[in-house]
Amino acid sequence: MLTSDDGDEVLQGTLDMLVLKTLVLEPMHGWGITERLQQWSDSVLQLNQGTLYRSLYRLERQGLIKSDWKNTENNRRARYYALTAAGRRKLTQEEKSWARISRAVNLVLRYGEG
Amino acid sequence: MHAFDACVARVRATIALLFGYRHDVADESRFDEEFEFHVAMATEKNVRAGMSPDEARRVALLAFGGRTHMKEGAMEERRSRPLQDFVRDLKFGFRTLGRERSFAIATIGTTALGIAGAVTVFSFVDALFLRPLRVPSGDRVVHVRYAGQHGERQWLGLDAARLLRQQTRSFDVVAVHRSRAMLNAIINNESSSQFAAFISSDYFRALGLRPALGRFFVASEDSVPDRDYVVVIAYSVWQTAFAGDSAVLGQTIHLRGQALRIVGVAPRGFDGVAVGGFANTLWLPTALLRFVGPPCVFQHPCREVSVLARLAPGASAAQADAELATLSKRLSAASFGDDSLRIASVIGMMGLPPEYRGEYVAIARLLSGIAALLLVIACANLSGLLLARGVARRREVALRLSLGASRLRIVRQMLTESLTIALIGGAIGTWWSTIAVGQLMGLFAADSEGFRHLYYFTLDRRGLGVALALSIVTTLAFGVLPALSTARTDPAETIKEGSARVVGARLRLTLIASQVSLSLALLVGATLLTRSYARLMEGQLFDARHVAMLRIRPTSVPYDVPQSHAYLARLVEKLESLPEVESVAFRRNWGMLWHHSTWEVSARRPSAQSPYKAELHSISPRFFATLKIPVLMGREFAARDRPGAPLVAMVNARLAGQLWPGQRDVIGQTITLEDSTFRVVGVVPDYEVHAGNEAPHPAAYIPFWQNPLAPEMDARLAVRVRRDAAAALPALRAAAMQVDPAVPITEMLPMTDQVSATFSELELGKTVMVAAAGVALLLCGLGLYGLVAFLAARRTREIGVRMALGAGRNTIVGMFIRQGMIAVTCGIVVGLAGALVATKALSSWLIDVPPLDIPSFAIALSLVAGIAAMASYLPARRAAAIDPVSALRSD
Repeated sequence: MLTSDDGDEVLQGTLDMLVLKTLVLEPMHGWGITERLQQWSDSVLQLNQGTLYRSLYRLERQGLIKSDWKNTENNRRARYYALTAAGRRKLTQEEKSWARISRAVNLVLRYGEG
Repeated sequence: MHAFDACVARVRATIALLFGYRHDVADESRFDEEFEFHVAMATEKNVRAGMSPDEARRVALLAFGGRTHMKEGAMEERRSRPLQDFVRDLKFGFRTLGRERSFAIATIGTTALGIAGAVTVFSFVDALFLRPLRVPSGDRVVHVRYAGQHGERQWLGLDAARLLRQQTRSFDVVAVHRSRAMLNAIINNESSSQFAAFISSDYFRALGLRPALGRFFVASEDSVPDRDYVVVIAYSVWQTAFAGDSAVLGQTIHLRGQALRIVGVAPRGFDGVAVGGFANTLWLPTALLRFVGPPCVFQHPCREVSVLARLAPGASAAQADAELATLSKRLSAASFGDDSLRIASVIGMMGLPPEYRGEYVAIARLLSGIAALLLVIACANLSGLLLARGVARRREVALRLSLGASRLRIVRQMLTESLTIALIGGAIGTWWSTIAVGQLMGLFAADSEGFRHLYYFTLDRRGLGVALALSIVTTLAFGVLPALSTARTDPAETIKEGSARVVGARLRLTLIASQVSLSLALLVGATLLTRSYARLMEGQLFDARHVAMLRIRPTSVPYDVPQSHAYLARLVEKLESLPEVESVAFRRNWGMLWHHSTWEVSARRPSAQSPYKAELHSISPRFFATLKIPVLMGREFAARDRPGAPLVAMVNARLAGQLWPGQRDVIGQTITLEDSTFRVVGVVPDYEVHAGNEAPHPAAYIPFWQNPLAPEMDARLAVRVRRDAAAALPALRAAAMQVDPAVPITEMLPMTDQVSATFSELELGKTVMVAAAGVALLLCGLGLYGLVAFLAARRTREIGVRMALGAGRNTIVGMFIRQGMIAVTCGIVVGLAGALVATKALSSWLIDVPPLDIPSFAIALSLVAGIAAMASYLPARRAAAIDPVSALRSD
């Protein structure tokens, strides 16, 4: 489960989108993805490792990412994940719909504050 | 043990594959390695943050939760789960269908109709051509036949069977049989028609059968003609005539005054091998073949029996054929007494014996064609319905797509729903087909003498397999297009616009057009066949109504010629004395009363050299009056035309035209039939029934009592009664029994039944075609209704606008009708063109109706146009009846 630092759960569908996003720049291993998510979210988003790997395996089965063994700069063997073309398209689409939904949610909230 | 383990492993692998529980070692070790890497990195980070190495690793592991649990979870994501998804989709499919009741009824009903037609026809074709004999060695038993010159098959005979027994290795049993003999038997003092097979002693062994009681024949019983009078009876005879009493062994039955000893009872459900002939009720050794006439058995050459053989273990049909080829000269000598080259080959025992197959190819093709058309129409309808629903569900699909469902998943779910429809519809259709098969094939299996023939029209595992395969394949094939079209939905577009774009309408119009064209073609065929059948039953030159038929056989008592004549004279006198009888006529036993004769003679003017061929009918006085056939010229035979009186004859118009072309009055002319010369006393029209383009046969008629060519004995009687012919039958039989109970009556039915049974293929074809055309028309109407209603619903707001701007209701109605009618018109044009071609194929079925019969086309056309007009008008009127204000408010 993806949780924020104060323990709130984050929408489950969002995790896959965030994982895809972390791979936009370069292929990465599971540990790297954890670190990057934490960095990019200013340590707000905490990732359960089990959930991460489930997400990775799921995305790989769906053909959105692919993986391969490579050596890290410290010469350790690690599994690197990279976006596929389908993954990139999916991410763009998800970002758009996220933007629309979050805008809508914000509008509603702001309206309430009036 | 090793094999067992391998087997278990395979079963487990299959189950795992189905349920997705594939145990993938590579996956696991990959996960372990990734896990270790991750934990190591986390531990290093924690150490850098100041923890002790142990503490650092513990915290790192904690972040994962339970390792095993987490591994399970990750592994599960690796697997695709076809079956779980499928089951979920199936449940969802059932729920949706339950909610959308009318959609469910329409789609399931359409599928059921298409499948019912296809399975019905399959059962028919299967029984005729495909179904293996239901005996233990059914897959190894073969016919051995010569290929005849015209594709027919010829029997090998007893000597050839002996040769095969001695000289071949491909067969381990070679038996002979003659399975189509009707005999009059007296069993327990009751006279009845029995259907005998004459068999060699190894017949039952070849089929792999064991007696239900007693024994089958031993070889010695089939070695000397007319010595051992033994018989094996059918299980049904044992049950009905002997009440299943085991004391039946050793009892006797009588055939032609000869007592035969019962030695055994055939196993239950075994009816012999004469599919298409009668179900055998008695089996006799071939040594007793004299019961069916003067036999040549045990003389040479003789081909009075057919050979069946069982392939030896390991021998193939091809090997047997090769071996037969090496023996061809000796076989020919054994069968025909010459050494000309004939090809003998083996033919699997499926459906009808090979020599009878040719007769049924045409009807099988016709029915298959009808079923195929019906199935295509049903599929088009189904496609239209699915497409319509797909459009209605675009929003649901768009929502699911935007929530991350893959298009493949959507397509799969829609196909699963199609599959649900296929399974339910297929099951209902199969059930319907069993009813249809019972009705239609009952009609087909009854012959022109009122006997039922042996066909296995029941639905078996193979029929069910075909039903299942057809429902699934057709429904999926025709569900793919609508599923793809729906899944192509653009989520953003659909949700944003709430769009009313009429997607799929064009495709649906095309589908409707094709349905219309196929329905029209079917309907034209149905009308043609119906009109033919009506001509057959009513429009002929003879009147079959109120005529009862009886066939009497004094020869089987056996009576000699004077005895037979005396009996027949007394019988006619007795029948004519009955109050309900108007008139009695009869004719020679061979051939139908009103149909061609099988007796062909040469006919010429005495002075002419070259003779014509003519059918010869020997008939009683008042024959034509009884059948209400008009005599064109002269008189018909009377009581005075008896033996000793001058020889007289009648001719039909066709023969008169051939012998005396251009001559109007032929009364008093002389005609030579074979070697006897007759004076012509009358001319009758060509009244016989013939189908297709067949020309009427030339025919000559001579008095029954006077026949100088062959003495008459057995006869067919036509009794015209004042009321219903079927109701009069018991009284007629009772009267005949009073005259002489020893003479069997082997045929007793209303003449109308005989006429239609003689054309049972026409009746079957007509019935199936009318039913199919009706269903096609119904589907077509429903499809069009649905489409127009759908188009109207999508344009509710437009209707409102138009009406607000002053358009009248008629304009609105016209707008929608026009749209449907364009498709209908296209369909009609194509359908007419198709029908013009297709009716040519029907021409051999047509009686007195040309293939391009204008009334038939007109009837079919107006029916299609009428139904189409109704199907568009009704929904259009409903759409136009809407209140403009509420229409404008609608979404």
